[in-house]
Amino acid sequence: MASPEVHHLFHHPIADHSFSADRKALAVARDNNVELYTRSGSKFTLQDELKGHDKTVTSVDIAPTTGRIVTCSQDRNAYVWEPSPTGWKPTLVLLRINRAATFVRWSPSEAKFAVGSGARVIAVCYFESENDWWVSKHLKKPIRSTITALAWHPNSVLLAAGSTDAHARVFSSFIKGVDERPEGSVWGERLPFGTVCGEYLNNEAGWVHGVAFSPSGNALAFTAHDSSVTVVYPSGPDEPPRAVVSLSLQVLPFLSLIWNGESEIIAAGYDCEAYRLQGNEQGWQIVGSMESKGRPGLGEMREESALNMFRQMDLKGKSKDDTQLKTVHQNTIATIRAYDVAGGNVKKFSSSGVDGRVVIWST
Amino acid sequence: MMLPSPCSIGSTHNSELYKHARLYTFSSETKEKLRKFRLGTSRAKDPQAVIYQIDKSNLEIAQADDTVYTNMQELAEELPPHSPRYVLLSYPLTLASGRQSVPYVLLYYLPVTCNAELRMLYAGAKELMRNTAEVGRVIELADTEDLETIEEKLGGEQ
Repeated sequence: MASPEVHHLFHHPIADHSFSADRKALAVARDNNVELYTRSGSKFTLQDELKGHDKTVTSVDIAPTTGRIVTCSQDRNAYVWEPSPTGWKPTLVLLRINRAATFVRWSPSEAKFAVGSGARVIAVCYFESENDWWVSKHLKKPIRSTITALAWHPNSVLLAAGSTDAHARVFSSFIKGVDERPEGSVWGERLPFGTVCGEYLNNEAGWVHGVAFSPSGNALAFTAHDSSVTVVYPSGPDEPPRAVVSLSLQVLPFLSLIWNGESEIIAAGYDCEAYRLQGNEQGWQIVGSMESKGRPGLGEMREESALNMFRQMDLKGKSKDDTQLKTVHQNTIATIRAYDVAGGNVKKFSSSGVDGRVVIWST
Repeated sequence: MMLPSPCSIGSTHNSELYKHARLYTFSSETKEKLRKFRLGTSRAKDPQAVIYQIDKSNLEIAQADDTVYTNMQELAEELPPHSPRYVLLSYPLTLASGRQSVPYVLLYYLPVTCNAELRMLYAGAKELMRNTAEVGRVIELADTEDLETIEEKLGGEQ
């Protein structure tokens, strides 16, 4: 396992991060702004700052093909940033929500994006060329609480949403004129906007923190605050799912998860490290941490430990330096995203967390 | 000499119309069509509706298409989801008292997703449209779903 690439950008929490398609640009949410970094050699240097939001930016996403950046914030707004020769130009999108926006993601087709909010509503936004502005349509029923996570199905019509009402739901966000009619799938056929294709509850009714569709779109995984990961395999519309596998774990809850192929999930959260889970319809099990026990940097410390030991004893009155976690991330990992994907298989993934680090891992 | 007053909303004094005429225009053809429509629909047996829109480039108010809609469903489908429109509607009703009445109203269709520019454009011309078309009432619609209950709204005020 190659050693991870660590980028300690600053000493503030990173709410969300996103890489551009060529992986040369990195957008990182930092307080009220989004910082854009470019890769120069092996480091990322600050290149630009997207200022526009009045309150904490909760989520950021860069569209791979068009290069547009969408950001959403606790100030109830979302901006679409377009690259221009004179810098980034923001366009305000009227979400018509009366609470904070919590999560935003572009659809795979990049013609629309979905914003989860604390207003118990998901705003699906698309560009109306006739009036030259972004319009939002709301998914309201049957959401009963804040939306914490969103994930798009590869067909850009189905949208999975995790909420603090302990449900993970799959909605259809089909918009006439913007989407092509999707082929029938296990989630249903002929799905008008707002249809709930599935609603799943986890065992202990804990808040759902992360949702993800498998690369084919035929399975949905979500993780909740009761330290469980549930994988749903639907069989057809209006039919009970083929399998709902719920895995209760002894580790701390996961906040974010991604699929690596159809039978592996990588999840990370409050334990500050990423874990690997493998399985199929018959069952899932946790395989282990993605980090090797002796992380880089730990070895060097052991070499100087004699010098350090006496120095520590002199300075702090103790001989062991245990102020740092043994993991690379020193605080909760808030987001993991696929970095290097080939046909559904993730070769590298990136993580960002409360410690201000963005780390790129190899699977 | 008639000095233009800054606020003339609700005024039906003829000279006030010419003040607005500097901004929005009706071609004489359109005015003729409006008159014919109003006079011709009072004897109709089924609802008659026409859609009017404002051309953003020259601020001219004209009929959106040449169809007269007799079915509320069709009308609902034709109304755009994110743009305002004016609809002149003549709807034959039989009131609770048994009396027949054919109210002629202006439907001011303004979806919540319209941008501010469009809202201001249509809001500014609303009174002018009302006076030029010589309608009795203006009913505001936020959604095409509101068309389904239009009969109740019309019967209400008689």
